[in-house]
Amino acid sequence: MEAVAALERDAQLMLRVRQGDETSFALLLERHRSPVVNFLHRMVQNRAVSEELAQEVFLRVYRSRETYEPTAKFTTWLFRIATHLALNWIRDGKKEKSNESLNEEVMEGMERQVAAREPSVEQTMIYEVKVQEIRKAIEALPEKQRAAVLMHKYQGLDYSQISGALSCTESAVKSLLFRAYETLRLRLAHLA
Amino acid sequence: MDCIKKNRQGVEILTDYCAGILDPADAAAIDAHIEQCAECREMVQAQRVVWEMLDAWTPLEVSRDFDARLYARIAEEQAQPAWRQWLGRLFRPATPLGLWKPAVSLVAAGAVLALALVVGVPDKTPPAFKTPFASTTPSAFKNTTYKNTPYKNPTAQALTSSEEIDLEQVQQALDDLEMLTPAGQASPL
Repeated sequence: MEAVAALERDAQLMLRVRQGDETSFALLLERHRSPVVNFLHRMVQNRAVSEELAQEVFLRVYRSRETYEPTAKFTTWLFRIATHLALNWIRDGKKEKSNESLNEEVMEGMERQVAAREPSVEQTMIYEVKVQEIRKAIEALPEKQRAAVLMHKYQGLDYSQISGALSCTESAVKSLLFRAYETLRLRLAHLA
Repeated sequence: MDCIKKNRQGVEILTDYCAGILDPADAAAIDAHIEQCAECREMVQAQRVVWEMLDAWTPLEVSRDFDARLYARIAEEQAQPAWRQWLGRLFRPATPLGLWKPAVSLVAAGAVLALALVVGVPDKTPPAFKTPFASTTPSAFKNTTYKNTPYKNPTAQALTSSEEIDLEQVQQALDDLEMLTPAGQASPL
């Protein structure tokens, strides 16, 4: 029920943006900024690029405000744009991932853990290894499987929303998730 | 309950179970099943490991100036002339997969049509083949000069028309030429 209300609220906000209400756009940005950035970050695995692409997502949303129609759920539309931009970037081969940026992002995660619980050196190292393995496992997935898993796991989108974002059938989404999770089970089992 | 892992739908149900999105009645049924079925229990445990591992990849903090940069880009775009903004919407649509491909196809078809109308459709009728015996050629090459040429097929009729050639005669001439070519050697034509 809460999810349904949230989706309707997004559509209402976007309709107000269509009428020129800039505050509603700011509210949408506040709600979806972090999920979109993190989805893109997990797709492209580069912080600077993920924020650049996320800006392009919201720019396109704003640019389309005058013709917006709530024919699909706002979140589905948002992640459809994000997925398209991410897949284009990946296929263009513009990866600029470097060891430095990877370490920097792992360090950020570790700092949050430190702030939370002051872990030991051993726990910190275990965390670093885990995150590296997960990132590699996700990166090794084919692009559409990767997008499907990230939307399913981290964004909590259902099959119909993911199918709308990927422009495929629900059956195809289930197939993508089936293969992706099977691969991840094999690859990450040793980390248990 | 039979092992549900044995078919693909069963695996999807177990995945949903691990994600915690099954309704309570179905989840309870799965709870009971995996106590009895080792294969399904193993798969559920493996999927839970995946879930926990994915949870370990915590989200990033977005840059503090993200909104400021976005609004700056919006303002910059709003300051552009209307035609540039229109081009931006055309070439960077928000819903790229749904509308982009048909739009490109339509534009391309329109461009080809426009080009055809401007350039004009070429005349499809091939010009009549003009032989060296044509009346427009210098008198030295009028066909009467060639009546007794060595390449004239003795069985073919003399060329009576100075403007058109009999294709059958041409084919016959080529066949005769091949007959004149020593066996095993390529025809000079």
